[in-house]
This record gives sequence, structure tokens and C-alpha cells, in this order.
Amino acid sequence: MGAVQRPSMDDVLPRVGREAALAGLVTLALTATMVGLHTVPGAQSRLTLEFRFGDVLMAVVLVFFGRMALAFTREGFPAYGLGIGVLIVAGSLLYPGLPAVVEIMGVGAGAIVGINAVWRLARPVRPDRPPPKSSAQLMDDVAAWVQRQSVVIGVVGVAFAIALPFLFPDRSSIDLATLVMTYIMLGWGLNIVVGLAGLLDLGYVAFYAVGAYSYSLLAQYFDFSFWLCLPLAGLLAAFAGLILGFPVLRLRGDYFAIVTLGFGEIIRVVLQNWSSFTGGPDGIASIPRPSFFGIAEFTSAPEADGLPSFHTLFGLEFTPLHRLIFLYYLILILALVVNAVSLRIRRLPLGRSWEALREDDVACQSLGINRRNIKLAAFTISAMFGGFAGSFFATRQGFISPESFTFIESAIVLAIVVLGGMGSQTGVVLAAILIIGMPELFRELEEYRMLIFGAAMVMIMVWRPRGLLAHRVPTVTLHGGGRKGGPSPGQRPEQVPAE
Amino acid sequence: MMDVQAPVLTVDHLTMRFGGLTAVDDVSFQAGATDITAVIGPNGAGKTTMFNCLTGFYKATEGQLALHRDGGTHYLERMEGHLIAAKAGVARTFQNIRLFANMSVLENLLVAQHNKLMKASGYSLAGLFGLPSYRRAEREGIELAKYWLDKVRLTERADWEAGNLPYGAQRRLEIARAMCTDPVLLCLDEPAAGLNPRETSELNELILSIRSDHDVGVLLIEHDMSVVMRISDHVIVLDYGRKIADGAPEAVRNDPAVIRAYLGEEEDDALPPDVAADLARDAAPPRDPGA
Repeated sequence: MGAVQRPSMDDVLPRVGREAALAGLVTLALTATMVGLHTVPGAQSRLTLEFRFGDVLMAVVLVFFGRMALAFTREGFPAYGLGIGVLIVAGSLLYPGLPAVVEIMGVGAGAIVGINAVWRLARPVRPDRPPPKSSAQLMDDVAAWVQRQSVVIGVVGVAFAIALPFLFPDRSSIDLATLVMTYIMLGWGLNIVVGLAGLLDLGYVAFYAVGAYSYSLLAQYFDFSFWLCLPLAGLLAAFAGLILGFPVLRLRGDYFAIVTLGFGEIIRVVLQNWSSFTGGPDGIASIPRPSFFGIAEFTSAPEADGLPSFHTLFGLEFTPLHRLIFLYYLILILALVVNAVSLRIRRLPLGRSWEALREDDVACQSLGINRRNIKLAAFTISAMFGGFAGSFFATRQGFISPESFTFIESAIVLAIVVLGGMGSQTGVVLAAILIIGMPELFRELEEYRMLIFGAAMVMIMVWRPRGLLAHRVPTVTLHGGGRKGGPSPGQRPEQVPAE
Repeated sequence: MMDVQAPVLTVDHLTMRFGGLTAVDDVSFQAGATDITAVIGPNGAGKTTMFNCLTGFYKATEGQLALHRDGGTHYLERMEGHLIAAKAGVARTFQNIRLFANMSVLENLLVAQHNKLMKASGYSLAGLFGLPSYRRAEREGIELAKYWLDKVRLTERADWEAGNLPYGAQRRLEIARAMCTDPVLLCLDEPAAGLNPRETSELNELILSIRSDHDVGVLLIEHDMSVVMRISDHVIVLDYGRKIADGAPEAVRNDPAVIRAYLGEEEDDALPPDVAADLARDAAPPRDPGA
């Protein structure tokens, strides 16, 4: 191995053993009660304890060997690490009677330590080579690359989104894609307030609710069609944003976040208690479905309400998928409109002032920028997009109730924006797929999927605190090329403290 | 009070109190339309507080701040904060630099032209559809930014993140950003703080050329006497919130009140013997401020 003094196994073994044992001990402490004890309803409806020490043992063994493999790899024995990884995978697959969850976790963990070892085998550490890039730097480069290639990625992404209903022509796939797309649209809408203007809005679901109820009530009381209600719902939500914005936008930072959270709840509570108008907790049922741009209806009968049905108009075989595919394309178009508008505004004086506001609002005032007006603009535009998404939600579900507009919805949309990287449009798509798509795909894991979800969020907080694809490209350049000059944020020159 | 020919700013009996503390106490002065007026004084004399009153970050407790522009007069103490920059034309920089650190140098200068560009973009509607009128306005905005980049020697680094610039360049960029708002009065809060002697002399050149080329009055807070004495036309000295001197640099430099404020009085002999003994003891507890 040339000049490198390879550590001897005698030195390494006790160190690795200690480390693995310690990790196992921590796992034991963590799982002994949380996994090991299980309350089950027993006789006379009393809770009794069930002991699951087998599960605890498996967790401890898994962590012990996994940590051992990682430590061996780090200490310069990647072959041992790879061997243990393979053993873990094989053991989890072959050992009879393991629960599915443990099997999946075992295979996953084995694969991770195995790949880590292979990586080290392929690129051994040598003093004459520059040290490998840290994963954080690597991800910075990836984020920068994604931003540079955003046009290509956008075109490919949109093409894939358009082709999707034909690639997966089944009900559950299209439903899932529609759901993800709704959250992408909400994420893009909220990104204006949170990502660009830097205002932490915890009550975005309020505007989603206003949009949904606007459409449902207008359809119920005045029999308006979806195509008339869509712009009206957007306007009403924008108006709600304006009204809520006036008192709220005097506040800053944490206070702003708390008040928006309160307003979000107020809207829901009003919807819940104003039974005579909104139907209260029973919600509104049989909300009309959208027609095909007012030309055709999606019905199995050849004609309905004086309109021909979609399949007779186009000479197709009737299938209920037509409506689902139509709804999918509808939300796709709405989301793309939101994206196009926000990308465009970002390059206008308004968008630049939003970003300036996020950076330093005191400096904004000193430059003669009316902070209240531009904050209101951000709030209103973002609320309008939320309203569009809400009316789409109402027409897709056919039924809405205040239950659909709880704080958790705001939290999920906010998580999408923050996880994706504040202000990054591509990041929102990636995060929406991860946060909405993944839990749906892994339904078999039952409640463990929320555990994995939580673990993933914690890992990202540690690894990419500014979001997966956080990388800002200037809205205008003097020297062109879109290439950002100067040292990258990861290697900022020594900052001279001010005063 | 020094007689100023064509004042751009008239401060009358300005007082700013925070609870029981009077930070600025009945200060009156005038600043000439194309003069460089320096405000100096020991730490805590109320210089930055006065700046904050002028630029709308504090509401003055008492007094009148009249800004004369194009024959009209704006009363700054009654204006909303952002209008002081937008309408009256008062631009400022900050003691601890406040750039938009994650935006590029060029973007910093475009944000400064916000009001002009916002109108040109039809409050975003014309801009959204990319109408030619807006595109022209944006090109003009970039031209103005280029002019100022040239002036502060940052053209090469126009696409850098502002936060990545070295300290001296950040100071210069902040001045360029303030000038992009097209002001009649430029307030600089310690522009030479943290600069080395070479950068300081370049800063002097920059301030002098801004004054002569752009018809703008400069109000300057500064501790660095090499800046104050070399470039200012008029010096105002504050101490404990009060104005103690006002006049040409030479006159102020020799003013006994100013020397006393900066160097302290020789008053050891005047102390009663027991107080002097207390002071001599190292561990003596501080006496109440009145003593």
C-alpha cells in the first residue's frame, strides 16, 4: 500500500469492538421500553403488557454489526465492512420467520454499510491525493448543477409528467400522481411567501380552505360551473390574503409565524361552526365535477345536462379513468402556471424586492421600498394560488369538510418547501415526491413509515440544513453565462466581523 | 451655528429621548446642498441616533427636520420611513454593513432602483408579459448600475454574491447602492470603519467625486480624523447628545470644548481628598454617576 502505514488488526479490533458495543448499548436503552413493551387490550377491557424482547434483540444485533462494519471501513479495512454488510443482508433474507419490517430494515442497513465499504475499496485514502469531497460539498455541487440544468430538467420533468397517465394507466397511480401534483402546486404557491419573501407562514391551509369552500358554496348556492368558480375562488382567496395580511404583516419572525398559525385555525373553526352556511363538521357533499371545458361531461351515458359525454364526443370506449386523467392534467396545468408566474416574478423588481426583504428588511426601508406593500403582494399572490389549488381539491374529492384543512396540512406544505430548499422550484418537486409519494408507496410498513419519515427529516436537518437543493442563481448577470462568480458559499473567505 | 449658503437639510431643536435617557438633546444645524458635513463625537454621543431620526428609523421626540429639494420642503419627522428615501431623497449606509448578502452585487444595485423599476414594470403586470417599455427601463437600470460599479471598481465582480466580497468592497458597494436611489442627501455612518489606510484614502476620493459629480450633500459620521479633516467642509461635534461645536474643520479642531470632550479635563486637583483616595484604590466600588 505504498507509503501508507496500514494500522494493524490488533490495534483496530478493540477500538471497533468498543464502538460497536457502545452503539448496541444505546440501541438497547432506546428500544428496551419503546419496542420491547407493547400494551394490548386484555381481559375485562384492561390493558396488559406484552413483551417483545425478540424484536429488541434483533435491533441491538443489527445496530451492533452495522456499526462494526462502518467502523472497520473507516479504520481502513473496507473488506471486513463489506463482508459484514453481505452477512447482514443474507441473514435478514434467510433467517426464517422475521417480520417484514425487520427484513426490510436489515436489508437496507446491510446495503448501506456494504455500499460504504465498496466506495472505500474503490477509492482508498492516499495522502498524495486531495482528500475526497465531503458529502455536504458534493450535495452543494449537485444543487448548483441542478440549478444550471434547470431548463433541461424542467423539460424532461414536464414531458414525463405529461406521459405519466399513459405509462401507468391505473387508478391508484393516477390518483397518487394527482395528489403529489396538488402538493407541488401548494409548495410552489407557498414558496413565494416563505422561500422568496422569507416570511414564515404557518397558516397557508387557510387559503386552501377558502378556495375549496368558495367553489363548493358558489356551486351549491348559485349553481356556478367549475370554470367560472376557479377564477372566483382564486380572487376570494387573494382577498382573504389581503384582509389577513394587513394586521399580520406588521409582525416579524416568530410573531408572524404564530399569528398566521392562529389565522389558519380561525378559518377552520369558522367553517366548522357556521353550520347554517357551510354545513359545519358535516362538510359539503356532492360537489359538482368539472366538465371538459364546458364542451363535454364525463358520464357513462351518451348525453347529460344537454352536453355530449366525453367518450362519445371523441369516439372512445367509456372508462372512468378519463375523468381522473383529465383531473390530473388540470392540476398539472395549474401547477405549471403557478411555476411560470413565480419564475417570472422572481426576475421582476417585485421578486427582487421580496428576496431583498428576506435578506435585510431594514436596508429595504432605507432604499425607499414600501415593505408593507410588497409583503402584501407576496401574501396575496401566494393566497390566490392556494385558492386555485383548494377549488381543484374540492372538485376532485367531491366532498369537503373542515377536517381536510387542519394545521398538519400547512405543516406538510411548509415541510415540502423547507426540505426542497427555500426558493428552489425543482427542490419543491423533489420534496413533494419524497414527502407525499414515499409514504403512499410504503404503505405496507404501516406505522413504521412515519418513523422512517421522521428519521429522514432529522437526517436532512443535520446533513442539508438549508434544504436539499438550496442554491441561488442571480436573476440577472452582467458577465452572462449564468455562471456564478466568486467563491461558492461552502468556501466563503474569512468574514471580517462588523464592529 | 455655521452659516450655510444653500442648505439641503435644516435640523431644528432635534431631541430624541428613550425613556429617561436623552440621546440627542436640542441639536440644531444646517447641512449645505453640496457640502460634506461631518458629525463627530465620542462613543455614545448620539450621532447614530440622530441619523436614525433623519432616516425615519426613529420618530424624533421633538424638533423639526426640514429637507429642501427642488424648491420644495419635506418634513422628515412626519414622513413614513420608506418615503424619506423614495420622496425626500435621503439615502444612507449603515455602521454594520447591511447588504443583501446572498444576492449578487448587480442585484443589490437593482433593488436600490426598486421604485423606478416597479413603476416601469406596471407594478409587475407589464413586466409579467415582458412589454418593451419595461425591458427598456430594466436596461437603463442596468446601465446605471454599471456606471456605479465602475465608479466603485466592482465591475469585474458584478455577479459575485455580495456577502463574498472583501470588507472594503462591501463598504464601497453599500455607498454605490445608496447612490442608485438618486438621493439629494447621502448619510454615511462610519464609512471608514475597518478600512486600512490605503482603502481610507480611496474612500476619500470616492466621497469627493460623488459630491462634485452628482450634486449631492453628504452627511458623514466618522471617527477617523484623517477622513474628517481632509474632506469635510463643515464639522459638527456632539457630546452626550448636545452640540458642542459647529464650524469649519480648522476652527473645530482648536475649539477648547472639543478638546475637552475628546481628551477629558484635568480635574484631579479639584477632587476632594477622600474621593481621590477612593479612586486610587484599585478595587474601589464605582461611585454613583453623579459623583
